[in-house]
Amino acid sequence: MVTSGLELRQLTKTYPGFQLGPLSCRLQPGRSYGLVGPNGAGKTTLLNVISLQAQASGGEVRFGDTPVRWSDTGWKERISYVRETPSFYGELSVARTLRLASRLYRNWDEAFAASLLSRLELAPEKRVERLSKGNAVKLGIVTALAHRAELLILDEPTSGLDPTARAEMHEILRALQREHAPLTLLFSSHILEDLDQVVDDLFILRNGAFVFEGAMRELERLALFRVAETIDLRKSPDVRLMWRKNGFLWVAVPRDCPFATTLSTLPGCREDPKGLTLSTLYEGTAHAC
Amino acid sequence: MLNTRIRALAAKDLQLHWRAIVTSQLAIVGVILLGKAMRPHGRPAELAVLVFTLNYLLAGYWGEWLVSREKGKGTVAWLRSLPVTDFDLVTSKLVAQAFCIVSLWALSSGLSLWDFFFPRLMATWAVVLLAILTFGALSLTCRWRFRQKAGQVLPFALAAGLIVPFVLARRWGADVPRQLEALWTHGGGKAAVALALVVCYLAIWWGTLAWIRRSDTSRLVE
Repeated sequence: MVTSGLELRQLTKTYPGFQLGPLSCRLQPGRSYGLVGPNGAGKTTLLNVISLQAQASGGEVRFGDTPVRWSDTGWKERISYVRETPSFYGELSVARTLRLASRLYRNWDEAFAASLLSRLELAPEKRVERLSKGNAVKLGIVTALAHRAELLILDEPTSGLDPTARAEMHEILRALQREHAPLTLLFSSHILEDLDQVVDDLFILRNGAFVFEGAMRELERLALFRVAETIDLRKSPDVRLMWRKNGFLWVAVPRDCPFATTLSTLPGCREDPKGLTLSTLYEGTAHAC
Repeated sequence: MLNTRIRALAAKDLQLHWRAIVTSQLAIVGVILLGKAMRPHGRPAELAVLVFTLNYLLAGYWGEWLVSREKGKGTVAWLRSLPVTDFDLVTSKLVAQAFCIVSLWALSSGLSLWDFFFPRLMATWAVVLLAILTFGALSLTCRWRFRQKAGQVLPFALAAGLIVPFVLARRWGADVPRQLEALWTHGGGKAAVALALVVCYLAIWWGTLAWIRRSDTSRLVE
């Protein structure tokens, strides 16, 4: 049982021409986290490092009090990683794929796998190469959860799915997390609707660095102000995010903080009546300063 | 010695490729038997060369084949997200390949060259099998490390680099090949070659494992 969740400490991964991090954060057990960012921001790299598909260049990943070592199979028994396009053996049937996975996990729960299979309406005899994209992701989820994973990492699982299949996937993830507490979800996507439906907390990644970290609920409590770019705003600790665009400075701060009142009195300042929406936030992080 | 994961992975490879394995084995045995039928009074040594060559070519082919699929279709990325160690991954491939090589060598040599090898040349039979296994492992490791073309050509080029100078030197009447042959026939040549092949096999296994352990999964897929 997890006592404390995943923690990244000054984690870095360097490739020629790209550096991820240093990133530090902590994920609480039982919550769902969204990782969002444009292509090339480093989302998949981060998920690869956490799931031991890529070796960190520096820093460490910890789970509870234990550092995760490279090639730690014990760690791989506690987590699961579902890629955008799960690469199963197309010639094998769903049942044979699960049988193979069951022989590789010491903690595989056969009964749970069978219940997930029937719940997700996957035909055991069907060959994997004949599954739709959505069903392949479902199979990925069955193989990912049947060993009672504590952390489920999903890398853009809804990409390429139609709206109905995507809604179904949201429902599945919400239900699984409700029923199998304390399952932690780390969900990478650039479909904002996914995040709205599934995640509790959000990380926005750009050019290898977190430009926003916060709870989804917190967004509702943030006010968005537009002030003239020429105004010299000293960065207040209340400022959650600030960006420049079209000659204006956009500032997101909690509605009820004193700095919000100060901002509203600035000449030419305008508060966006919609507040800080997810799409505004996502767009804003592209120009964050 | 082989843990459950290695057995599961090797069984998966054999299950995925059994049609191709059986078909190629039957085709090779068919060619050998046809060759024997066409030259009923031919020298057994000539037939042994044919049997060896076909086994050797197929060993290289299987090595390339077992890894290409994993790299090309990205299935190795799925395996690596499961609690499979790199040791399991490398060893299971060698086990699956060894199964194919040993079965074909036993079948083809047993059907066509039983009288030639047994019981007089049993040691030769075993050393040749070791040589084919080592070549197969070389082909496997080349395919892990290099892209398709290089992975296919390199093991054959390396093997040719050993065999061709020997054949040419023998043709030109140099002393060294004669001395090696004498050592092979009368001295402890067979044991020395067997030992060298075992060392090479283990070195290939260890080198492949060390390289895969250092590699991110993205380097293992194409």
